[in-house]
Amino acid sequence: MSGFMNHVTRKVAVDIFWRLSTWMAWCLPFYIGFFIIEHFVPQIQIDLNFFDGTIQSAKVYMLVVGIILALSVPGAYIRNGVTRKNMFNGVFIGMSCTVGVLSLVVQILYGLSLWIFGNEFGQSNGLSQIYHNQFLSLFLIFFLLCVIYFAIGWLIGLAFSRYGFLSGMFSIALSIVLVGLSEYFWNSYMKLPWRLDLLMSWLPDTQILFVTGFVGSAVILALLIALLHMMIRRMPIKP
Amino acid sequence: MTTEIKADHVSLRLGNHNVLSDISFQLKGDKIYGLLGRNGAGKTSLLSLLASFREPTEGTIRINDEMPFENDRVMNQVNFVYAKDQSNETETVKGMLEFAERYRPNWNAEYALKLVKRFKLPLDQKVDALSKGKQSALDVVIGLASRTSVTIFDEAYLGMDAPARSVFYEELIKDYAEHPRCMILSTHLISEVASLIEEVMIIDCGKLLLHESVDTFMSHGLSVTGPAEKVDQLTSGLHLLKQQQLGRTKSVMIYGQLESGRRAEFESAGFELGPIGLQELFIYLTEHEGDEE
Repeated sequence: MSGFMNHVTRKVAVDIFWRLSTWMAWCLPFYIGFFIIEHFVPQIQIDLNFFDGTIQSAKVYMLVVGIILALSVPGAYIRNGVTRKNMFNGVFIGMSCTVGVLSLVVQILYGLSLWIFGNEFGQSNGLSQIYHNQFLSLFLIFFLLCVIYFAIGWLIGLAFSRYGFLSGMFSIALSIVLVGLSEYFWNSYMKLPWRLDLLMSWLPDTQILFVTGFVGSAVILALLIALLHMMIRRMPIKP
Repeated sequence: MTTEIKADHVSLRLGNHNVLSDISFQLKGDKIYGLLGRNGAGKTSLLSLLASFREPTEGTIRINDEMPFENDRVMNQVNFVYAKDQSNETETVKGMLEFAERYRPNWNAEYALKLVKRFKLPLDQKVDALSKGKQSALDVVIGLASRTSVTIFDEAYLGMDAPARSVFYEELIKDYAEHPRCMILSTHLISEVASLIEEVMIIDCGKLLLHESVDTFMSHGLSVTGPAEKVDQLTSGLHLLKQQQLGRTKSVMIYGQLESGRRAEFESAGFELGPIGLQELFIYLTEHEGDEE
């Protein structure tokens, strides 16, 4: 029963895949509805096209989902006799599959939106403009950023639940740096109140190659997974 | 294969607090064990080590000769049922049962549904909408229907009314008889489980006070009633748990192995002899200075 993908890990992955997919299936129609309304109501001024808007929403969504699951999932599975390792692997495999499907669905919908509403670029540095017509690149960027944001959500959730308030605050500080770096690799700054573009202004303002961005994101993700693995492998559960 | 649990010099330290200190014991065979202890004695902490909720700071725990922590062969055979806050649990009763079924290899769905009916649990209701007693009943259903080699009930009855507790004890003993396994009951309602348990472990202030079969433990307790002077004379030097005097009549509770002939001596002196209940023995053995204040 050992190994990376044993039958317990598969079960956890399937659980997480269906749970997250169900939540996505609830959220996505609202976003599509909002996008259509926005297109027909000139008073609503949002300068993001479907892809750029979706990726921003999806990142925040994955961050929040990551925090929520980090607080509830470990206890639920360990109480039912699942090892921490199987639970962790299952969660990340299940989540990655969900994000993969979501990324694919978003590409299809983005293609449809271009076909129906025309080629509207909103934000000047939007990813869809930088990687115009490169659907595979957009698919991978969407996937990587969503997985990174989910991992950051887990980091924050676990830090608060396992180590307390101060460590939780430290994890937020670390997360801001990691979010900033991830965004920097794709020249795509989050439109959040803290304005990461200002926070990361010390970094050189140059166009980063896709390969560099891909490798950089993969390194951030690997670091996050290693950190989460360290936090979870001996994690106590409070009865 | 019968279950064997072995704890070897186990200690647990949380922050600056020694929760468990140098505890060693062996639970050999499929029996119903009672784990008794006062509030904060370390019962739940000890049980959480068996369930791999955390690791001991020192010492080792072995279940069937294997370390349980992060061992999926052992962990899926240990079910730790305890009273937990389920006020945010939005899953339905049915969903909770299905979830347990996915991860418990010996799950018996038919038996689970039978228990659901006995406890009158509404399958489609969300857990957070259930009363505390019904939530506990659901935990009990999951604990029993999982049929894990090691099943632990830690104050699992919280909120359950007397009839529901009676159903719990009835089903527990019936299922244990049909599917013998290692069951550990940790409870404050000692008199209710006294007839169920075969071996008793008492922990006090993080230390194992005793671990004996219930029969042996009970045989160590004796209540002696008779004329005060004579009782004082014949019980001097014995471990007295409690003394009460009313007029010239005195009643004492003795704990410990009596020398041969001592009991006959009491009987020939005309003393009234009687057993001491498990709960009384537990109370007097774990009584500390200042408890009465």
